[in-house]
Amino acid sequence: MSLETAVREALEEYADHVKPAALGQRALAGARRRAQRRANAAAASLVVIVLLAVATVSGGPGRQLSAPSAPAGSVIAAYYTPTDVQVLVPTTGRYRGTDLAITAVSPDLRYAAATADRYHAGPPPDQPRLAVLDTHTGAVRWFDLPERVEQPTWSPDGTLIAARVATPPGRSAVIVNRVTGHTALVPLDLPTNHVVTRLAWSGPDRLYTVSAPGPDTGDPGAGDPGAGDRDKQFFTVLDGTGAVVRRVTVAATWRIGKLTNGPRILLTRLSSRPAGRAVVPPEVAVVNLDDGTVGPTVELDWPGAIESLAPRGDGSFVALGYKERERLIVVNPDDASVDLVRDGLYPEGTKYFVVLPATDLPGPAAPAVF
Amino acid sequence: MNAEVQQEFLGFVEARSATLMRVAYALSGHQQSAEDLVQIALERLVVRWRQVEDPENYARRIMYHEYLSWWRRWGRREFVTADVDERPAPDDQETTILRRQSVIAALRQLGPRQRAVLVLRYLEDRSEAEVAEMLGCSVKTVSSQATRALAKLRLAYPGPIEPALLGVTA
Repeated sequence: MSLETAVREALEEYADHVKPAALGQRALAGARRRAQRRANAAAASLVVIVLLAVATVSGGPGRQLSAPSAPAGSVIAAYYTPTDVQVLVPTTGRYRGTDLAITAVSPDLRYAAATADRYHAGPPPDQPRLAVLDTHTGAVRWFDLPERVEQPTWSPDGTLIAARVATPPGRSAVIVNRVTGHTALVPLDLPTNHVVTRLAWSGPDRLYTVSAPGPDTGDPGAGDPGAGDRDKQFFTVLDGTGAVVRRVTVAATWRIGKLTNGPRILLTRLSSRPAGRAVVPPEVAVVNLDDGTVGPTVELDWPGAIESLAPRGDGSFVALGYKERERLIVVNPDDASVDLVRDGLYPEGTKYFVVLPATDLPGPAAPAVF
Repeated sequence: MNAEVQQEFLGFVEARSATLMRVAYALSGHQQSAEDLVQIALERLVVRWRQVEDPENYARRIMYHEYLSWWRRWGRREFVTADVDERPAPDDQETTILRRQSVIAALRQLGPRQRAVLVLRYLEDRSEAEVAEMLGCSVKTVSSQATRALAKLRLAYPGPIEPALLGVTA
């Protein structure tokens, strides 16, 4: 028997394993939902550049993340415990529990965004949506979205929420205007075979993505140098229409942790030194998306992995460090120093912090600032 | 969507969904994924029912493209859960079944494009030109993907190797 015959017979037999499914009515119902979703999106069909213009005008100069003049300091805007999510109420300085899976808090701490209820089990609901929690009042507003999204991230002025589209896979973003309720689907200009792994804001009207070639996607994109190179990942800075402003290439060995807004992004990786040491110190470097430079690699005096979380106003970063359990640390890539900020102050099992720069916070929130 | 369209569409689904499900299963290797693939294709088909000349071809095209984009998103994890059939077999069929299972196991290790090419070429009996048209790539790409895929499967195929295939390299 020839190989081709064997393949043919094997495929035939393999396909025989499929069980019949009654898909006609399901498809009709699904098509109706899609039509409704399109109608909703069309009703809010302002193009994103208009959304961004509104944000820029209404936000004025906005709160510049990691602006040199901002006072140093960070605040834990939200954290996860084994039973719920605690969100800081800036007017009281206390945390409020919620079931929403908060993954982003606006820079002024007034609003928190989630793509799911934390305890939601089973398949996701048919209608993709995004929740915005008002931290002052506890009120929740749901926005219907054209596609399912992940990693919501707030614009510097707290008006817009950008999130990468999860299905179909990440080559576009959804932007929601919290004030007007408008929603826009923005295609992202990426190398042909790339998939977005991160999405965040690098300025009032700029988004950036981190992308890398998807698994085994065949031919690399024509005209995209390095696009098919699995040793590299790309930072792509995009304007409000999704067009490319700048691209920065870094080695795939660098780990880009949780979302870090602002033009300076902290990269981390375990040491490139040969194995054999009992403890492998991490290395860090800073990418500056404004000028496209990647800073020198610095080895930290810290015995374990770290994950970049947020820039502070003084050039350092607040990070989550792992050594037996999570600890909040401040990493200064300029002099390779690491300072322990908090250790064991939170309930056992607490993890996944949302940390923001603390600038101009209302007085009562001060105890949460460090 | 009027009642007439719905009726025609449901008639089409009745007649062709089994075939589409076979293709979807050969691609994804998983019952639920296969149902999802076919459902997505049918949802998009029904809203264009009046404009589409060849509904089956249209649905297949969506399935293949959706499958490739899923893979880009989820990688292999999504598609390795199907169990190879372990029904007991009569002795005289054992060798054949072992061979098939080796081929199926190797098939599941292939990348999505190579797998799609093999499903189109050998399950659907399409020409290379038709495969290229369906996947939106060149005939040359189809040819090279098929050659590479067969070279990988040959390594897993415990049967006698055909002399004609020996000269083929990836």
